[in-house]
Amino acid sequence: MNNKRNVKTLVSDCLLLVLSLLLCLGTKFIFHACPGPMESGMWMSCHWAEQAVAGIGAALSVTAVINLILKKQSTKNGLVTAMIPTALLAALTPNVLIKLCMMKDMQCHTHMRPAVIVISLLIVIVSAVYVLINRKAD
Amino acid sequence: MKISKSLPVRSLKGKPVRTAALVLLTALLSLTIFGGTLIVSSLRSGLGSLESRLGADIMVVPYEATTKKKLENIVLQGNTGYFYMDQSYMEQISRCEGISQISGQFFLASTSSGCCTLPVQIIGFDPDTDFTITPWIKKSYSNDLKKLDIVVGNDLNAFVGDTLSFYGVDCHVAAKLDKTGTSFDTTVFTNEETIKALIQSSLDRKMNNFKDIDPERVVSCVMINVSEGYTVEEVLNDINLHVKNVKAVQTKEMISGISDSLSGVSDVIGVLIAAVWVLGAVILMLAFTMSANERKKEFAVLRVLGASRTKLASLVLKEALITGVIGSVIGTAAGLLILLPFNNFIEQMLGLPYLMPSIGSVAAYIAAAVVLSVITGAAAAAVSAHRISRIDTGLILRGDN
Repeated sequence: MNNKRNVKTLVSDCLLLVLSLLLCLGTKFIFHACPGPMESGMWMSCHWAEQAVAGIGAALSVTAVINLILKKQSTKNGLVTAMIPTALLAALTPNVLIKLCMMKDMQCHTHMRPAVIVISLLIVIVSAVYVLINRKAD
Repeated sequence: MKISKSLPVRSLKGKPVRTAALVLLTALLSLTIFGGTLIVSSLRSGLGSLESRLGADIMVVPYEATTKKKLENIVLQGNTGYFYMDQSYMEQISRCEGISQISGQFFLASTSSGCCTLPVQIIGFDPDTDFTITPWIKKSYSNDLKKLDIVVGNDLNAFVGDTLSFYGVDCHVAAKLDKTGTSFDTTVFTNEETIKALIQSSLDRKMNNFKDIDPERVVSCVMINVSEGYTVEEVLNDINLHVKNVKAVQTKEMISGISDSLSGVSDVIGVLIAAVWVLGAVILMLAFTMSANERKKEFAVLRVLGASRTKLASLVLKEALITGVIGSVIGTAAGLLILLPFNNFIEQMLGLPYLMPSIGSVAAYIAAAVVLSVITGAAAAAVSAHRISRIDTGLILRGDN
């Protein structure tokens, strides 16, 4: 039973790490904001949203790595719980906290924002389920 | 007995891989049904919205605008652009018979709109005669537009009270329109007075060229509604015959290409849904049959312990219902998680008018997908349930089956 729980926890830990890394690196290299800078040399506002999400993704990745290393379940639960509001912050960053570009058919609206929302919500769901399953541990 | 302690739940927990496979299959089934239906419904809403937004029987444009598909690109695809003719053509057109409503519109493309590099299409209308844009704007903004007031399409990231600058002229966002799923979502609308101020500013900055047309007397297109007693074709032919250098186009013909594409996409998605549904039902049936064969001894032991034949059949059906409900909820949730945020991306990929239906309709599609998936799962399990209810306990326990 204990081994089963360990396997489940390990899979969840790895999943959280993969999702956090995807949020951090994916925002920079896969579903990035509109290409820039503009002819004037200025960056569009979506670039700063991309930077903020990548930063939040990096913080989540570090938390996920620490969570993977730690053994004590109550501490792990605390770390994973802290990932929930952080992931929600990432979901709200594009266009709610930092405004994106003018047209909704631009790359920051069609690629970056939906991908960030989906990955962030997946982190929230996995974290919530993780905490729920392991709430009676230790 | 608590549901978590009941036999079907314990049985499902005891075989996690089999349960996960059944849940995954049902999830895929409901995702396809829900996703496919939502996309087809959004395309149909988009076409309906485009038809109602065009709002006129005939559109008259300068002859040059009909070449190289420029007109369709601007009106239907949302590409920015403009073409102009002298207002005297509008006066000539208004003298033709069978016209009940006539109004001019002015197109202007901004070079940039504040923060971002993409230009925006600006459409000016005459509030006194307009019958296509005003009724639509009235839904979001009941007051009259003042000079330098603009109304922005739903896909523009600007809100009421914001200031947008076009050709150095600061315009005040008075209203934001409801989503239409068409190119009008990325358009800025304003009255004749404001568009002329913008045209003048574009001329002052040498960013526009009207050749030999007086900028004070320009019009891009003329929208016409036909009087009762006349057919659209009659009025159309009359204009094309008697007014030179312009082309009258029937708006229904303009969207026939889009209608054909939509029909093609709907058919493909319909076939895909049917194929996945049949495939899913067959795989579920096979999975339940194989599982029932594997568990014959388990069922025989339950019979010996006093379980009735009906009880065994209901056990299999309950298992199917539980996996069906969980799987279909996961499938529709995944569908929502993909289709709602990636709405703009899907619209861009399809290149067709795409308008998400109302929340009520989406809820109805979710319910239908869940019910259909659960029924499919239960129907697939019913065959196994029937066979299990007829097992010969003695034969199976002796191992002679």
